Amino acid sequence: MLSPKPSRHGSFKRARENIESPTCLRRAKKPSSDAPFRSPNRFGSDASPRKRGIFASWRQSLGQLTPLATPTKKRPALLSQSSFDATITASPGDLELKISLEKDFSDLSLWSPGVSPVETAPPDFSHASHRIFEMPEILDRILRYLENDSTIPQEKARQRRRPQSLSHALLMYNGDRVKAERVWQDTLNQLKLNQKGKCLKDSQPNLYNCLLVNKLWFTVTFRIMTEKLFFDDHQKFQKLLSSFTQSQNNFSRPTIFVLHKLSKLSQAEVDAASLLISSDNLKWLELYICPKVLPPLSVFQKSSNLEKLVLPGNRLVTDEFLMRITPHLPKLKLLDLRACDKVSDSGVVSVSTNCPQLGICNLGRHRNGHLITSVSLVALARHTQVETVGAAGCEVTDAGVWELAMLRGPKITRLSLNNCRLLTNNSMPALMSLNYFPNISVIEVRNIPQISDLRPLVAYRKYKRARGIPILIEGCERIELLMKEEEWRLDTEYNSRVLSDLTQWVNAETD
Amino acid sequence: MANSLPRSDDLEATWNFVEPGIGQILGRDGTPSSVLKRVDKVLSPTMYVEVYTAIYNYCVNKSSSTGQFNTDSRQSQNSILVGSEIYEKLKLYLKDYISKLTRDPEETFLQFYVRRWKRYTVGAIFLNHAFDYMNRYWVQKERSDGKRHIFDINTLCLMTWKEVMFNQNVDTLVKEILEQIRLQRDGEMIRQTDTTVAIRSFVALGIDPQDLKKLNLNVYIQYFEKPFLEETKNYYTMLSGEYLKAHSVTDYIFEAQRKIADEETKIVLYLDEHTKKPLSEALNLVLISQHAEVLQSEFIALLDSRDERKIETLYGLMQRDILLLPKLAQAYEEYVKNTGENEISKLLMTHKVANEAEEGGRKPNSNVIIPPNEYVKKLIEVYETFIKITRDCFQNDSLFTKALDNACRTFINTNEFAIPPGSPKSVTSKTPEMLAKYSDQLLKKSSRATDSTSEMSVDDIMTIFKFLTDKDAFESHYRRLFAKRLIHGTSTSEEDEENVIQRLQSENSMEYTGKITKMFQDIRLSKHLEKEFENAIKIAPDYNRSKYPDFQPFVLAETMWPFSYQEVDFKLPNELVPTYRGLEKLYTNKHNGRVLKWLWPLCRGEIKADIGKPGKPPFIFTVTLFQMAILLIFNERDVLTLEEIQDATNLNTQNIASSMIPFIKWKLVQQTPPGLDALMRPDTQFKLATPYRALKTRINFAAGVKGDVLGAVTKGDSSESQKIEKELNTERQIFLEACIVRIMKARRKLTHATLVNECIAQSHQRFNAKVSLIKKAIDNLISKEYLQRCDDGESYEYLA
Amino acid sequence: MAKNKNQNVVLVSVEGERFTVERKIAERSLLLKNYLNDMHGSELQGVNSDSEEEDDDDEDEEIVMPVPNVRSSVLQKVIEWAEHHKDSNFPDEDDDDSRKSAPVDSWDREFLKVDQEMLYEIMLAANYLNIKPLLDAGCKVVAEMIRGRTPEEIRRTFNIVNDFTPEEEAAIRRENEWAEDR
Repeated sequence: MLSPKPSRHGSFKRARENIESPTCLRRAKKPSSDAPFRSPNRFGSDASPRKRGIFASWRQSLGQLTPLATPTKKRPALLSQSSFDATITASPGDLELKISLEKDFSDLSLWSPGVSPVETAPPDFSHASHRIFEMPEILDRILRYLENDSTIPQEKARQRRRPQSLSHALLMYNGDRVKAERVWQDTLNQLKLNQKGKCLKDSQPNLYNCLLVNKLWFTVTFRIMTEKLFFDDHQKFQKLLSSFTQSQNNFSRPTIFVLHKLSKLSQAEVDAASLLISSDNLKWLELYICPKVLPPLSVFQKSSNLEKLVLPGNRLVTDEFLMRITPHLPKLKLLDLRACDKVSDSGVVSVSTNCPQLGICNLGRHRNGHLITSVSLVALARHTQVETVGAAGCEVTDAGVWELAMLRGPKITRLSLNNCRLLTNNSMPALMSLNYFPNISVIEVRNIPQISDLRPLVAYRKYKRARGIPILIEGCERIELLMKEEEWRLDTEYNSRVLSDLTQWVNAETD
Repeated sequence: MANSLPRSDDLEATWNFVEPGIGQILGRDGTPSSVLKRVDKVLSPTMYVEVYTAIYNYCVNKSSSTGQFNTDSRQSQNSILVGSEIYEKLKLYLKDYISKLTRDPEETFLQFYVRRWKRYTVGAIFLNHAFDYMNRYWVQKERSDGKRHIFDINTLCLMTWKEVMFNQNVDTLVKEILEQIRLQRDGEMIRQTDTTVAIRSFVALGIDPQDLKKLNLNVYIQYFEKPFLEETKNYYTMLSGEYLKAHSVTDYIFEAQRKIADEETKIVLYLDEHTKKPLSEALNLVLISQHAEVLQSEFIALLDSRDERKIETLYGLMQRDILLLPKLAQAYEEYVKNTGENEISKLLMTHKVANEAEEGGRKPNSNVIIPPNEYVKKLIEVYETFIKITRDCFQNDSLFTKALDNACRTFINTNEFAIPPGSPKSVTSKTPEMLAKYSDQLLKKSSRATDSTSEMSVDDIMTIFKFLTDKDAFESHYRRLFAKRLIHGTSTSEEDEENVIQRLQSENSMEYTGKITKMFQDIRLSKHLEKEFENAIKIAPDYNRSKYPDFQPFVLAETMWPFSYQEVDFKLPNELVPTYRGLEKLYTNKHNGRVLKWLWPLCRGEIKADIGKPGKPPFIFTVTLFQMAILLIFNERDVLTLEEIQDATNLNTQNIASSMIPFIKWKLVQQTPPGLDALMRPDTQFKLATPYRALKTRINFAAGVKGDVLGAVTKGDSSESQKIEKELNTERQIFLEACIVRIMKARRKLTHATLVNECIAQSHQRFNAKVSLIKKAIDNLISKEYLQRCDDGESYEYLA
Repeated sequence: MAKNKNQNVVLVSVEGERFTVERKIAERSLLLKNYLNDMHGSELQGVNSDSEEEDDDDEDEEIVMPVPNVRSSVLQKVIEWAEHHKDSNFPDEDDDDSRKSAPVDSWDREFLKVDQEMLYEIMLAANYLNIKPLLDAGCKVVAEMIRGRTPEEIRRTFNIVNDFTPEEEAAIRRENEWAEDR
């Protein structure tokens, strides 16, 4: 324990409290008129003139004291002037003892007894912590603020997709040579190394440290910690499992369960974890690129409040799997099945009919694009509340995109159609020119060979940018080039219109 | 005050401290009811805060002092928060409290229940707030751990109430509520608030343990709604049965309507939203569907009465149950059809009677003629009556509109007049013909005044036209009459004609009015030709008025016009030859390759005859060409023999005779010897009567010509109509064959059934194709080698 | 009734000191708010018409609420906070994410720059009186004191007794290796 600091500091504390106490007395009338007194800057002018001189120097040092440095105090001693009423918990006997101990130190205090009407005992530092740390409910609240969701492993959020060549990068970044080269280099490097997505790590293991403080802290912290379980390290996950199998008791039912790129994961391990995670509390279930495993059906049967299901890169996700689990997931809001190339239209249809609240659905893939056609888009448009749709690499046709536009148009905010080779100018260009997507902010149209009319998209982007709304349109090299040209053309037209208006006006004046 | 608070870690002390407070919050039996309402009087701030604080202290400090934890896995998963003991104690207390509630002797169970419930719910809320600390932490924790049987205090109160008070007494309660409702239905006044509150309590007691925030209607539905609906059904079954015994069906209709309105405005106030629909359905079932037959039979009677209000009411009732409407619509259709047919029969009868009176002993079976406008008017009258009813009483309900259409279609095409009973099956209805005549009357300039015509209109024509099945019959009749009008120039105005044509076109198709349009065009072109001819002859060197009299050529496309060309022996009079030659020359120059065939029998003209008394203006005779030729001969001689006339004109005896008859009739020509048979003899003499005395200056001799092709058309001869009938059939045959070829060419191979269906569909616009006709057409085509039967015997194949 | 809205509430601390506040400010505390609404009604609930009792209490300007668990100095601070925030809007109670992510209001931070004793007392009072935003602010401040410290440092900061035996401590470290970087 810290040795108690000299009472001089204590008297700082006292002094501060003394500054407050005279005003306590004035509290008989309505508080509003006293507002100036209660200004946050308590080291200002609220000290009565008498005390000013004494405390002047201390005030500065007081100002430098941060909460971190404040020494702890014992249980609250009396502050009010008149009564010695104990607080509810301290028994009278206790207090008297303490007061007698402190009497000796009172001479050392730097304030003159006459000044402060309050005879308060100086602090005593060798004592137990404040009661607040023994109240689990409050401790729980405090410790929850130490949680840091940014430690959950996530794929690195990219601002822009990777360029396909240096010239493409130049187009993407508007001719900024330096940046383009850098981005292009990064892309080349990444492709070589195939780095693991880095997740942010906090500097300190805050919650872990709290585990070791004392038993109550342990229990509270443990419950908080086990509400969110996420791993990108296989060994750590195995340790969790063994810890769980030994003592299941204190574990909370988690709301988040994320496994990030655990390639050696075995189905048995996932099955063992399912006992831990299946509950009404589970909201987010993610197995990011864990190829050989699937969460067992029991998880879905018991977790009817699941909102986010992320299973990208999983070849075991089949239509049958989806058909079996989706009836249990009425509240599903996000479904990420990127690179699950066994999923076909029938799976998507079953998802759509069973999950009416679905808002984000991503089915992008590099292979087996023929399994997803416009049927999926129509199903999603008709039965769900989708706002973000990812259909990259799928064989969707113009008709599917139209259906999406007609039924969900104003709500769609992000749409990815990269590599949808069946689309033509009758899809996005036509739809954008008719303003079917008034609120879309991200459009991805890379590698769609039959799209050549970029004017409506570019016009839309200009329109929104002029209003301060950022729009992102991702295109491959060819499309970026076309967009640039359109932009130039639009600008030219606009300028010539302005010029002709001006000339007209100028000439009219001379009449 | 602080002194009275119990030690915070002592459960018993805390509980004992808190218990009286709870008692006051909930309200003990025995306190006067006025006090019960003023809770605040009883529960001072101090008391409230003390209870809260005691709970707070207990929860906080118990949980702090149980801080000696070990991570021993043997320790069961106890909550680190505290509250379960108090919770249990509270539960027991509530149970006890509720079971001790007793009824005042002079109040009914319902009143007792409602009174207690009101107080209790208020108390529950206060209690909930007083125990707030426990709710906030301990209860929430337990529930998120999955212990769904732990509730916040308010819910706990409600559940306990349900367990103790409600479940034991629900039957009595429901019985009394239903009794109250019955009283109200019988017309007595009751205290509505009690019933409302009691029913609301059912809703409040339905709690879903999974989701406390959601209102759950389970209890309400099971314990209240079901018995309520049962009761309602029983009540009204009985009521309606008795009523019908004592009152007429019409009265019942109104009574039922009233009762339903009552239920839906008053009783529904008690009920939750959820019951509205089942209630309506129950009422419909009992009051309407179960009496559907009775009501339906009344329907016919009401239609007879044409009392719109009653019909409307009945409809209003019946339409509540969607399943009842089709039958009603069917009955309606029957009725309209019968009415239509009856009306026509009646009309027929009046004319028969009139005819018999006129003609005296004629056979009663002979063809009775109803004037077209009367016929059409009658049809329209029936139609209008029922359109009005459909609109006003049935609000143009689609089922009824359809029924009306079907019925109209039937009686318009098939009634006693249109298809007289006993006619062969293949005969076509007379209605198209009638309609054509009607339109003719409308569009013809007539010297007779306009009373009859003013009531006619193109709208009427179109109305009936829509319902015709044999539209092609109408077209051919219309075309004939139209041709006549065009040639004789008797249309009222070109605009009117065009109007009608436009409407027909829009109603049917371009193809339908194609011929008629072409006919119109021909007339226009002919007018141009006339002008051209005028100009042409004017510049000819030998032009003078007498050489080229006023001439109006009508060049008609042979296929479009309903005239058939017959080779007629005729020598054109000399006066007309230059014109003839001139036009031939002009036309053949203009249109290379076309041939003009002159229709001598149809030609008409005007001839000025200065044969009256001297001093009187010359007569103007309207004559046919043949007549003109004959009269022109009289320019040379006064007396002619038939033989001489024949030589001069090359006409055959029949034509001469028919031309002469009007002359003789009107005493322009004297025949010696007189008599019909003498007319044919070659040596009969004809003398022109000069001076000719007649009242009018203008005399029309052309109309009287019998055998005039144009005139024959309007007569409606039975042989004539048979001829028309035959023509129609031939045309249809051709059309069907063309249709089949078209279909087969596109589809290559089809089964018999499909082909027939396609045919019917395509010819629907023009006429109802009979399957036998189609079959004949198919056989024809097979023999012509357009089609062949496939091996499977079912289908046909197209042969290129 | 308009009158209710201008009512004043008198809060009496454990020492008996009376603090008068406007009803609106007092209602920042859910405990007080519930009581006031239950007993003295919002605009909707009027006085029962068929009561024969005197209605004096309701017509009074003041309602007196004892607050037995809170000392005057603390109560004073709490009232100060409530006054400052009398018109503030706080994120919804159930919306955990926005509550957590919102940084401590700068005024609140200054306000809570008191010694630890007072800080905890304020938090206790806020908990007792059910003033969630104030409690949250306090929790965030305390969390900042914990952040970045080893267990020993934490104990020292808050004067907490370590009740683990060394074996127990080792067992915990072992079993919870999976959470080492949380």
